[in-house]
Amino acid sequence: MIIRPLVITAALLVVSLVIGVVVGPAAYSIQDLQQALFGGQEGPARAILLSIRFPRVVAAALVGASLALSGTIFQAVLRNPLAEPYLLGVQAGAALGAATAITFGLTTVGSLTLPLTALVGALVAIGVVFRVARVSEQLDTHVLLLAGVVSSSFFVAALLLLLTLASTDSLQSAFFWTLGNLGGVSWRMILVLAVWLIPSFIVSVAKARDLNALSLGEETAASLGTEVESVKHLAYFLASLLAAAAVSVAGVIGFIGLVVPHAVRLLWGADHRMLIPTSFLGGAAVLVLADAAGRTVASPLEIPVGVVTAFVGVPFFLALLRRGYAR
Amino acid sequence: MDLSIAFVVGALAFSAVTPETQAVGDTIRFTDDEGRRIVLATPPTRIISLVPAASEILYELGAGDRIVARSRFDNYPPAILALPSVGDAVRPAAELVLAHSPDMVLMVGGADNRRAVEEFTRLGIAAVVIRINTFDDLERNIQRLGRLTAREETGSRLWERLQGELAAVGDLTEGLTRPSIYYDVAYPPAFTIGAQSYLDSLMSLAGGRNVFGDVNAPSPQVSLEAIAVREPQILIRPLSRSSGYRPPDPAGRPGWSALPAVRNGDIRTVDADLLHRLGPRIGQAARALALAIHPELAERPEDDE
Repeated sequence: MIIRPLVITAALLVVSLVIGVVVGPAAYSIQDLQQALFGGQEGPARAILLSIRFPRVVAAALVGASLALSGTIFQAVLRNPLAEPYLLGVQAGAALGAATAITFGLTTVGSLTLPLTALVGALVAIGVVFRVARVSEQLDTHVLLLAGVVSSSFFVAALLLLLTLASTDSLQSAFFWTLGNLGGVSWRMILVLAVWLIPSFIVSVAKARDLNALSLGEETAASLGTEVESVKHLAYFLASLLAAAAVSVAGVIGFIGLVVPHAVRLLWGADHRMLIPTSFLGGAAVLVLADAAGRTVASPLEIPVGVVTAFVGVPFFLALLRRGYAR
Repeated sequence: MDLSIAFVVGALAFSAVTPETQAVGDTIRFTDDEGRRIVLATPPTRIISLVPAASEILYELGAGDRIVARSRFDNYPPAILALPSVGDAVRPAAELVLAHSPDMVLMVGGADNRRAVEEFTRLGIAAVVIRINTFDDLERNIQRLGRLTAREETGSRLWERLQGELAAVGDLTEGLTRPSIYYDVAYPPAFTIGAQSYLDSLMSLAGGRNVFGDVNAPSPQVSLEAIAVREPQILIRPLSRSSGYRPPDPAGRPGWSALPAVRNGDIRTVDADLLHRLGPRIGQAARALALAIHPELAERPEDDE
């Protein structure tokens, strides 16, 4: 019962990657795209494929995978069905960092300024929450949750204060940042994200048994031989830093981190040896598809990807939830 | 929509028939740009202008001395900076507004500002919504503000002058090739100009062609791919000194090298403080835009004006 879900989600990812490359505001036929890629001559189609669609599709896959993986880990460690990548203040910290860069015009310095300031904001939030929740070498998950929610409120207040004083254009930019956007992700950012995501994935798969034990409760896990504190620490940093990386690259994209792991669980069960890779692939596929829809449906306007994920995904998930409980 | 404009224009045409040399004490009646009926017992002498374009018109009419306070966005002419600010143009601080005991407050409209407009009206202050999104709006408001400040003649002359300036720019660019233009309002995400903005007309007048002139919105958010497939030859980059908002350099944005304008380095900077305000400096703005699109015009002798 591990192979089948993996094959299905892997196939889904392949299909969505193809769709992501083929569809877009510029309505090129498959022949046009082949011609552009392999025909050897320069032209808008080639430039659009190479500098816009490829990086965008790859970025969507990596961000989706990061968020789903982060959500899976948080749900296991916090044993809370509401746990998602942004629960512990990462989103609010990153949003404050991004808004600071936008409002003070730091974004002119270079294309990496915005992701870097968002990352700094997220890291500050992670540090603060960790510092509060760590008491005598132990990480209390209840304190972690409360500290996360409360520091989120603080960062949001700081963000609102900043935006109140900002110009209209900055306000607009910052607002759209909070709706998520996969446009304008450079290969350099993609590389950084991949270099962080792939080892995180491998470590998570290696710790799947411990996460299985932890989701039964900390005492049970300890009695089963899991080193509870070290796994919790590792899980907290892996999941938080994945969320931080995703949010700095693409802004706030909701729903994926919460719902993809739940959907996989409802469909195929809660064994983390299956859950982790399946959520990883599923998150990637879902975000690639959502982004393809976002940039195509209302073309030439672009619907923020965070809106698409919630709009299409939530009804789907509610149906799944109903079916899962009826069973 | 069209009907309401027709109504406003009709109402103005009617009011224009009545003698404008009203003695002090005569009531002034008119309809503002959201259809509210305004009644003023006397011509306003203590105006708070929260609409920067309207402030510029008042100064241009020689009625700047009737303004007692401004919004924090008002910055032209420089003399207006000496006046106290009552805050944002939308949702201004009611206490600060009242403290200046104005007899008329010029305000931007829209849902965001409705409560403030209603509150001022309830407090007995004439809250007048001014909407200037098109050249017709500009003409109507120049004439309205002229009439309200007993400078109707000056208002008509100002509008004639602006029409002349705009026509001169049109003449200047006539017959020139019209490069396709991407107008870079904000990034990220990419915001540009659509058919419903006067800037779309201004680009045509200035001898260019807005690549998003087919989108029926004032300021749409567009995807990079949608820009790339339209292959803009020139990227117009408005930069504001007053707002502090500076979108990053287009040449450094990931993927933007797919645009011919960026690849060929055809990025032209214009003054956003001048272009993004439809007011008495619009002729100047049109000329600046024409020079940005067609730098070769700068070498021609200026025989017009």
